[in-house]
Amino acid sequence: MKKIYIIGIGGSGAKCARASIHLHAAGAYGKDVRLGVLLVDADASNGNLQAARESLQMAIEANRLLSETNVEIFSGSIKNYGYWNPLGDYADSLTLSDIYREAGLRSVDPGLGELFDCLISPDEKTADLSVGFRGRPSIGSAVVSRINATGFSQGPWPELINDIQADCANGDKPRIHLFGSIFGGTGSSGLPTLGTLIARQLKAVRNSVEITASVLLPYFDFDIPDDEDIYAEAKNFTLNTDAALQYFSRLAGQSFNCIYLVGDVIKQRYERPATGGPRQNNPSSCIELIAAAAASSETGDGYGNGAYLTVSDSATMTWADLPGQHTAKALIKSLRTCYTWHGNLYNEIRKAQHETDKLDFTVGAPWFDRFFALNANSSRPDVEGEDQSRQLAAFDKWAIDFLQWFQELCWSGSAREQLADIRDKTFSLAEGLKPDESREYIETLDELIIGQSLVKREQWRESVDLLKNSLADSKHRLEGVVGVVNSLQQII
Amino acid sequence: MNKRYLAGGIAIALGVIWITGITYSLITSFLPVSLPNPEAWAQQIYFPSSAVSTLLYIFFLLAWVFYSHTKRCKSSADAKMALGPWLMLLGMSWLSNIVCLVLFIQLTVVQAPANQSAMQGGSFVNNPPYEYLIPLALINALLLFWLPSVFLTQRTLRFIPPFSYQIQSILEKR
Repeated sequence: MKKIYIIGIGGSGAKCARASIHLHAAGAYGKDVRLGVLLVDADASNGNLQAARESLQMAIEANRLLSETNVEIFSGSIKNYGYWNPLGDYADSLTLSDIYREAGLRSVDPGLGELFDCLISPDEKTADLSVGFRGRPSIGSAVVSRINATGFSQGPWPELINDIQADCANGDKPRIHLFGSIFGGTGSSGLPTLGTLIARQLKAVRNSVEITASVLLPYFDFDIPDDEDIYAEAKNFTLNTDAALQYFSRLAGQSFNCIYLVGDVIKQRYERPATGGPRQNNPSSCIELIAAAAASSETGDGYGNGAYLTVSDSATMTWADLPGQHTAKALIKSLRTCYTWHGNLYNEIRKAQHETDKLDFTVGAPWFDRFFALNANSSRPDVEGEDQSRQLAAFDKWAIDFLQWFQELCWSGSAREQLADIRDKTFSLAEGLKPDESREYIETLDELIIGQSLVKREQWRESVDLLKNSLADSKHRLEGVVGVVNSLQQII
Repeated sequence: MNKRYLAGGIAIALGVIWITGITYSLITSFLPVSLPNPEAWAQQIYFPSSAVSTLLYIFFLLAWVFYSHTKRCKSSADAKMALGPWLMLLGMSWLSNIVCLVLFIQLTVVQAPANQSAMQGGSFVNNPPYEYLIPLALINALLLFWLPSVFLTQRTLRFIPPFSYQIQSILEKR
C-alpha cells in the first residue's frame, strides 16, 4: 500500500490539501493508497482552512461508509491528523511583541531590541496574529522559527511521526508532501521550516522517506482588503517569492527530495479579498489541482531535484494539462459519477424511499430492484433502512462538495469556462429526507466534459437513461447505495 | 437478454399459431357458429383477415419496440407515463384486427360448393359469428401484442407492459 502524508500550510496550502483530498477520493493517486492529512495554519478561523477541514470530514465519512467499492472512487483510505496551529504555544500572546517579550528583550540586551526594530516594523509588531501572518513572510518567519524540534512532541505531530516511522519499519517508503505558497505569510515561512524540521526529525529513516513539496508561486491577485490596518499586498508577492526561492535554493532545498514549483502567468483575481478569518475563503484554482497532483508523481525526474510536470501556453486549462497518469481519467469519471448522482440518482432513490409500493417504482426504474429490496422477503438492502440513508447522505454530501470544488476550478480560467461545462449549475445540499425539488433532472452528459469530441452515435450513448439501463443489466457484487455508486463508476 | 428475445420470438410464434391455426379450427369444428359453410367462410374470410391482422399486430409491436428503444426517460415517473402509448398501441392493434375482419366480411363473397339448400334455391347467408370473433380478437391482441411486448420491450420501459416484471422474473432471477 502506498502511503502519502500531506501537510497543507496556510490558506493556499489548505486549498491544495482540499484538492488532494478530492483527488485521492476520486482515485487519482491510485487504488491502494493511504492518505494522511495534516493542516497547519496560524489562523484557525481561516475560511479556506475550514473548507479543507470540512472536505476532509466529508471524504472520511463517505470513505468509511462506501469503502467496499472495487472501483477507483474511495478505493484508498484517509486519515485525519487534525490541525496544528504554530501559535499554539503562544495562545495568549497574539502579537510579535508579546511572543518575543519585547520589553524583556530590550532590558536584557538593547542590541537585540534594536535588531528586532530593524527586522520588524512597528505595525507588524503590534498586529493581531489571530488571523494569521497577514501575508507577511517576515511575521511568519519570526513565529515559525521559534518552533524547534521539540515541537514534534506536541499536537498531532507525535502520531504523524510514529506512523511514518512505523511505515518505514514495515518496509514501505512513505511520501511526505508539503503544500504552501511562498508569496504570502504562513506558507512562505512554514513550508521551508517544517520541511527542514521534519527531515531532521526523521534523520534515522531519512533514506526510507520521500519529502517533497508543491510550492505555489504567485497565481492570484486582489485589491487591498478594506478590513485591516496591516494586510497582505499583492504587489509584494514577487518580492516575497524571490526571497523565498533564494532561501530554498541556498538553505532548505536539501531537505526535500523534490520540489514542484507551480504558478501561472495569468493571475486569478479574487473579488472580495480578506487577510484572514472566515472571510478568507477564496475559490479553488486549477493551480492547486496541479500542485495536488504532484503529491503522487515520481520524484527525481526533471532538472536537478525539481520535476517538470506540465506546462500550458493556453489561457484555459485542458484535461491534457493535468499531470499524472490517472489524474484526468479519475477526475472525469468521478465528475460524471457525481454529476449523474446529483442530477438524477439522488432524487430517484429519495423518491423510492417514499414509495409504498416499491414494485410500482421499479416498473419505471428497472435498475432499482437490482440494488434494493422490493419487499421484506428480499435479501437486498431496504432502501428505507437507516444504513442506506446514512450512505446516501454521506455520498451526496461528498459529491456536492466535489462538484462545488470542481465548479470553482472551471470558473478559475481567465478567458472562459474550462474542463467542464458546469459553470451555470447550482450544487447545494438537500434539506431533509425528501427528494430535492431544486435539483434539475439531467438527461445527458454529452456536453459535460469540455474538449471531448463525440460523434453523434457517442452523444446518444451519453444519456443518463442509458446509464441507468446499464445499471439494471450490470453484474455486480455490491448492493444498496454502495452498489449503485460502485456500478455507476464502473459503467460511466 | 437472449432468453428474453427467444421468449419474445416464441410468444409471436404462439400468437401466429393461435390466430391462423387454433382459431381456424375453433370456428370450423368446435364453436356453434350459424354459418352455412363454416369451413368455406373461415378459409375465404377469416384466414386472410387473420393473416393481415397478424402483420398489423407485428407492425404495432415493432412500433412499440422501436419506441421503447429510442425513448429516454429522466425518471421512474417519466418512464411510467409510457403506459399510455402502450395501451394506445394495444387498443389500435385490437381495433385494426376488428376493422380488418369487418372489411373482409363486407368485401368478400364466399364461394362455397353447392349443397342441398343451394340447390333448392337458397343462397349463402353470410352471418358472421361476431359473438366469438370479438373475444377471439382480444386473445389475438394478448398473444400477438401484450405477450411479445412483455419480452421484447427495450431498456427502461421493459417493465411497462402489465405483469412484465412478474413474467420476466420467471425467466431471469432478479
